Amino acid sequence: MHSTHDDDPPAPHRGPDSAHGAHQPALPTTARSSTARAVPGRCEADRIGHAHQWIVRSDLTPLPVASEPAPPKAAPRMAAVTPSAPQWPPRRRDPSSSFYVGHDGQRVEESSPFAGFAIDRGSRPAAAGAQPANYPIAHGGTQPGTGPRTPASPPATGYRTPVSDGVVSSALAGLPIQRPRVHNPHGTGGTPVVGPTSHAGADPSAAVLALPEIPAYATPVHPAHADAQLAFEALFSGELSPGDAAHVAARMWRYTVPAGQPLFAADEPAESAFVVATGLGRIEVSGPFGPMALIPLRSGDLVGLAALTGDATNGHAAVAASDLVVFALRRDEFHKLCAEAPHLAQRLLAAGLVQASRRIRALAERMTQYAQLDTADPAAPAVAPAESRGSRLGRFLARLKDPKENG
Amino acid sequence: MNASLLQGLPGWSGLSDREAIALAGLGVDRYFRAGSVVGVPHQADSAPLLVVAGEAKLLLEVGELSLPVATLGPGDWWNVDAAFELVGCALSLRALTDVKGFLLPREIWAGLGNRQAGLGLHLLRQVLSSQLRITADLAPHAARWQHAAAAKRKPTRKDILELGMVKLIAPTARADARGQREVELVGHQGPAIAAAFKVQR
Repeated sequence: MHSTHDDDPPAPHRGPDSAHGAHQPALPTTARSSTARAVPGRCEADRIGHAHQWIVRSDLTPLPVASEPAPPKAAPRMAAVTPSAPQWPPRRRDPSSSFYVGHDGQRVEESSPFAGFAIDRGSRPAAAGAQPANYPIAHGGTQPGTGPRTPASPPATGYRTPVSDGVVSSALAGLPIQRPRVHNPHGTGGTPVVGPTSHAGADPSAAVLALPEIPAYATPVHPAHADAQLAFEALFSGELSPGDAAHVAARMWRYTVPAGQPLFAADEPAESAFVVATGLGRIEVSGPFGPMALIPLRSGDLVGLAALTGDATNGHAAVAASDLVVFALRRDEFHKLCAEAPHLAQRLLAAGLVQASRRIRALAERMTQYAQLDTADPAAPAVAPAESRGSRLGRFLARLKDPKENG
Repeated sequence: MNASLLQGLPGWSGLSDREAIALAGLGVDRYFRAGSVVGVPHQADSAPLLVVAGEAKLLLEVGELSLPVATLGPGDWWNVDAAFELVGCALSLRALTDVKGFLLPREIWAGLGNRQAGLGLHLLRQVLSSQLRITADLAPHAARWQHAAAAKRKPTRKDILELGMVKLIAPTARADARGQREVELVGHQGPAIAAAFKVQR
């Protein structure tokens, strides 16, 4: 389940001008990005590149840097990296083109799969002192071998706050980025099954933007990658346009649940729905005889549907049978999707409805077949008589019955 | 069906007057006497039904035995499979009390995306929530049956009865309902939506 070499984390790699950022608070030394261990220099460049690509949009008007925030004590926060920013009004759609118009009048490409949530992450109000509610075990950071993880608070600043490379790199190096450790069929270990970060580990910018209930190692869902295409193809029966797929993917987070770990437990708050991208899982129901696997989960399956309907809890548990790559859609992200693109939300609900109906039908059919074993007519043969002699079995039985006739 | 009746259903209070009026005009009302069959399993040419008033029992029927799975009340949906996959539900539904239902033809579901977004989302959420409730009621039975099947490959009648199956409570009513079942075509474009549903006005 876990590679042993990950148990001893190396010292976190500091940025080139970490001394320059002396005013920055001390960050915990739990950064364990395997990429940083392998190629520190390239990792540093990648981190800065990612952060600048998706967090800091240098082409926009710089914002004034506010006063220095108080250093965090328990968990690293985005507030420790960048100061607070004013509340942004929501983006609006430019009717004359396929662009979104940001709060500052700049046009943002709609085709960018991260354009939607990047803006919304930035406009998220700072929850001062607000601690996230208890979250499912799979989300809450009780990954085996890592100990209890304190979920990060929502980023308290806008992503457009100008920061230097050194500040970003030192902050990213100190974040507790925990890569999902999954089995690799090729035996190398430590590489995600498939996905946008399979070659470089978890995306550090995603860790910065991670919301409380999503694991810190979650990465954005890229609609062009194989697992997303596979999952959306199965979920929407291949009827989703690339633009719509990008829109849905921008509201989701991708991460891996190790084999045997629960995706969510029964009767715990339904905060997210999950689309199975790759891997196998099962829906379990507990009873007096223990947990019973009822329904298998595979690519394209949608679970945790209570988060979409507004119900409080899921009535069952979902467990990863193998390493399971899932796309998590938080409840509030789904609400945003409803407001932005109702037709996509309807497609998602309809897909969930079809799958829920199929599960009911499958369970009822299974029970009916079992009951029919008793109620079937005992006089009737269990196997259809092979009198046609057209089949190999029929000819074989006929030879046994009358060897002379058949020579 | 009228708008105020729809808005009074559990989970439908958030429906605006305009949406409620629009939805009420999309379907047709059906009435079922207590003990009658509301819907038979695998009836693909029927429409999803919303229970507006009364109670109905969802049963898994095998021969003369049946397993009560869930009780549907106001706000619950049945036979949603027919709208999206053109297959019938594997379970049957019998009216415990006099039931007033609201049939929504499958053409309406196909055009949900083109209608008011709020109405479509609300409708799908309610239907999905109802399906999840049925799943939650059915899953413990299924787990128990699966556990029994793992222990004993071929069950006896005693085993089946121990798993909760019972003889139908009102075979007389069942027979009556069978005799009265007729195919009724509702005037609309498309296939018959109310086949096997008897109108009890």
